[in-house]
Amino acid sequence: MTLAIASLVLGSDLPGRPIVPIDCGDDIAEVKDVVFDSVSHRLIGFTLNKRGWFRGTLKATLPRESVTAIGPVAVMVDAASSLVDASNSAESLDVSSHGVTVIGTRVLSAGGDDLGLISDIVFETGPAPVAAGYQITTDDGSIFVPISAQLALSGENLVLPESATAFIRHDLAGFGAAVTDYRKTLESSQ
Amino acid sequence: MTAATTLSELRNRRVVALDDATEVGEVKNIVVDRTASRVERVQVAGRKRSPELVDWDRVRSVGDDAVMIASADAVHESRDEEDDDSYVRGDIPIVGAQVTTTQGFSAGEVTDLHIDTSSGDVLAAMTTEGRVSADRIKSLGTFGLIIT
Repeated sequence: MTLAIASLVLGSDLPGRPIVPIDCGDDIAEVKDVVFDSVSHRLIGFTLNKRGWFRGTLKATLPRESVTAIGPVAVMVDAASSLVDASNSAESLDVSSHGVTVIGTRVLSAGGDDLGLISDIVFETGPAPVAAGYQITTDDGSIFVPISAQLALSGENLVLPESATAFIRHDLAGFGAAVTDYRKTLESSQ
Repeated sequence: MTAATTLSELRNRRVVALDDATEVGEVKNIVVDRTASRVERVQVAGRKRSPELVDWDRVRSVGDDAVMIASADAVHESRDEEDDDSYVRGDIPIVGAQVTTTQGFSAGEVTDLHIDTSSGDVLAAMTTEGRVSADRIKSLGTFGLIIT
């Protein structure tokens, strides 16, 4: 099934969302944190907490590739074996190397306008989800800008390429279509 | 010939042993397998405080008034060799279980199950958002029923 318009979710909404394997229906874990590579603007995966009152960090992590879908009520995986034991370093998410947080980074337009600070990351919700954009908090509300390989990021600033400015949106609902359109223009320009 | 019934119809039906006509209790619930495709056990509320179980293969017939089991000694407590106690005992609720799609969307709550009384196969789940046929049912666990 391919969706014409990307279905999106904010990264800040994900912590606490249950992880449910389709083959057993148990809530085996919940999202603790989103692991994001701010240099390549890529979602790596999720660290996990146990479910319930005495929840603590689970050793297992969930790589992006193993996600079947991010739904409003649960993050679905095919089986409990989709989780990767973090003590198995070859397969685990290297959280430490992606520690630079993108939240709070200042975003400038290619023309030199200050657009605001990154306040959230927007992810697609389908299988093997990817980052679609950033939410930027401006002086008068928030805007959404699409992610592409051309986004230049230093420790201090992120520069939005000229090609992306036409696809800035003020609401998440309209942003899904904008992301799809933006990708089409990137593909056709290659 | 196939005969179908529902979980709600089965509930409170008398459970009677064929060999000596003992009434061992009444149906409290059913226990389905992890894929929610067939009935594994019947939970019987009898004289003991905690519900006891009868394996489906010891059920001889499901009548309009009583569920006939092979003998009274078919009634047992949860099995030690099973890895997951909550499944065995039927502690995972069926009626009232939330329904979630494989895309992670909410799809109502389970209100009833349709069961083939000869094979024990689950034919469909009735939910607050309509009937879900067996081929769309993926699993039943602590998070509820997962459907496509």
